[in-house]
Amino acid sequence: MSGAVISRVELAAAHDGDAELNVTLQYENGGQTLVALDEYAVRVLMDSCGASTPDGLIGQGWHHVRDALEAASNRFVNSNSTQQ
Amino acid sequence: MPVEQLSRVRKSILPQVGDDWSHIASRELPDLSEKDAIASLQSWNLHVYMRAAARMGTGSNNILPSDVIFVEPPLAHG
Amino acid sequence: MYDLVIRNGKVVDGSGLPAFKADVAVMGNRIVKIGQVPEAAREEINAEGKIVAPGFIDPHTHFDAQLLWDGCAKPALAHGVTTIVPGNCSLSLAPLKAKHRMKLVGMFNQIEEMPLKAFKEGVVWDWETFSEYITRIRKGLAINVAPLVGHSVIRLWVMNEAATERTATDAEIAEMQSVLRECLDAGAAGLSTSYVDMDEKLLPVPSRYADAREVEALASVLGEYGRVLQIVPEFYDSDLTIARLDQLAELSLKYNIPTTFSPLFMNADNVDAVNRVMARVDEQFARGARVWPQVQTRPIDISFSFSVPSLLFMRFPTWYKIMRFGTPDEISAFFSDSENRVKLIAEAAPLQGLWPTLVLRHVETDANQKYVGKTLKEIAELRNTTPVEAMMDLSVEEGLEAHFLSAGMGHNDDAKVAGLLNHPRVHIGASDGGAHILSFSTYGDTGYLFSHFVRDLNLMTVESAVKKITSDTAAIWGIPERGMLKEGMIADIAVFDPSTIARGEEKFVNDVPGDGHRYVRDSHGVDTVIVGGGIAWSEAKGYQDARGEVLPGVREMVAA
Ligand SMILES: [Zn+2]
Repeated sequence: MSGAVISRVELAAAHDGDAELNVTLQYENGGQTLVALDEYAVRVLMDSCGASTPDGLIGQGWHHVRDALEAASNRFVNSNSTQQ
Repeated sequence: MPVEQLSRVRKSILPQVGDDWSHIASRELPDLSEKDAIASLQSWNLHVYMRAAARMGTGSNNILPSDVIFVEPPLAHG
Repeated sequence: MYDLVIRNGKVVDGSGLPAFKADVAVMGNRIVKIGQVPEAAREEINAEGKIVAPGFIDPHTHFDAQLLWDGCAKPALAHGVTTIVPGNCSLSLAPLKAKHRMKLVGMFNQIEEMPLKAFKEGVVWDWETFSEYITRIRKGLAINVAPLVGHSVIRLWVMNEAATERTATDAEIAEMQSVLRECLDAGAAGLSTSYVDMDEKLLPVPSRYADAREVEALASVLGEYGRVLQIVPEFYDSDLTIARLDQLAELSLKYNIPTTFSPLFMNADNVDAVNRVMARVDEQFARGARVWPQVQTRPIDISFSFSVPSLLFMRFPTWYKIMRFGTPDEISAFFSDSENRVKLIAEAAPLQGLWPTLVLRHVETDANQKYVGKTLKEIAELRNTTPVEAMMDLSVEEGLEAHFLSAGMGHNDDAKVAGLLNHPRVHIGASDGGAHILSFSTYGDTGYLFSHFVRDLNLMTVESAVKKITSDTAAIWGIPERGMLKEGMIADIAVFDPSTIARGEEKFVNDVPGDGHRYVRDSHGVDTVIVGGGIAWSEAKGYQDARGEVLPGVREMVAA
């Protein structure tokens, strides 16, 4: 069972000009990966971790990140409206 | 330089027809329980959750045919 | 008697060798002499103090729609760009069945922010096949176009709705192969695919539903023609980028094709990751594969207004909370309340260095237009207040539609970015010209290369910068007879002043059909741009000759 946890959070510039949050996950073997979250996903992540500041995310488990990303992605699935 | 001489990078696979998390788990991580294997795979492949795979597959199978699926954690560097 | 002579300039010929003083003579569409040219010409350009270089080639653009109403791809041509590659990221405007038009318009709206109205008012839909699209854009073409065909579009043509539902059958893959062959025969410069882009519903584009078998089948067709495969990898993750470039390397080796992936960004927090990607690129090149990473010259800016919550404020709980939960009226009221302001100002204090540098880029009211383009420091001085308060006041006055820009927030470590730009196995590109039109300007990256990395920082020579965006690009993309100033080559030429060339200030203009807007940057320090021997643009007279061609095919012009 993987025990990856959030080890670092940093504000970054997404290539489309929005601010995004780079979340670094640290795995048990010492390997790291970086996941970028948009504003919506960050909101879900902070809520699910009960964090009030970005630094409050540190030490939280990877599944919070998975679920936040999934929630952020799924918000588009049932919207039939074409963007204009 | 022959392919065998390329330096080691993080091991990944491309999904086969009909693959979902549990198929990949049993094929690639046979020594782990299904639950642990799926959790490991998902923790190594958070990019799969960065978009929905609407209109494809069912339920929780959100893997797209074009996805790269890592079958180990990121390598520890330096 | 020559048609055109450019006199007294310093020739930077695209080879990377040192600049030299010479005249350049043109007959018809070709360079016929470089050296001393005593003979007269019908047209003469005095390039004293200027550099005479091959026209620049921009290998990653989305000008597909704009080319339908603007054969100059403005303002790219004025920046010295004489060849553009549209059709990147799996999206082109052909081949396209009539019934799929509105879906594709939606995808272009998502990627390019090209408004629906522009398509309605700027476009007569008189094409379906790639060949018909080429015929269509050839009329009035002033810039050269080396168009990619998009994998998502081919998939849509063959599979219809199933393009975003499943993998393709053998029969469908065979049909995609023959459609790709038709496109290549009609002049496509290669194929683009994407593992990242989203469609009009913010769901994955059709190419992301393809398995590796389908991509390989299409690559094998590219092999028959020796044409390029462009991909967008999951660039935010180095392991994924490496996995994709390994896939590209196998295709490149198996089918002898050039491949390129874009973008690749260098940020403070991913230096090791980019180094790993580049180490892998080096290894794959050592095997004989061609896997060109594209790196853009310009840094990434962040823009925001208080009408949409921005993570820029997430470390300031009071700011972020009101952005997240307040209605526009509540936010305005909050900013106007003197007690709240004290709190907001105190909270923003840790970023004292940032606020004065923010630029006001867009307002709605006439009264505040005079501040657009100014920094908050400048505006605060004019209004006798502080930068943070000016930001709040302007937002209230504009009903929250005051838009601010924080420049250079990403891809901003000059020394490291220059290291990449100078790297022999890095392809300078990824401008995304013609995309994101309502968010920021994607024009002028070549001016920025010369002003910033060559002139101001001295991190690149002008000769190597020119080579990188001319002869290297032509060689990578298999574009013959262009990219170098040499006798016999086609005369695509940029004449510019090395002491003033730059990208202009970003500005919001109203030049998109259907009363649409976009961000652009005017060219600075570019004197004359020649395409196919004709003056396509000059600082003195603006846009002129239209001798653009569809590349890599070369059509001979009859000398005047
Ligand atoms: Zn693109």
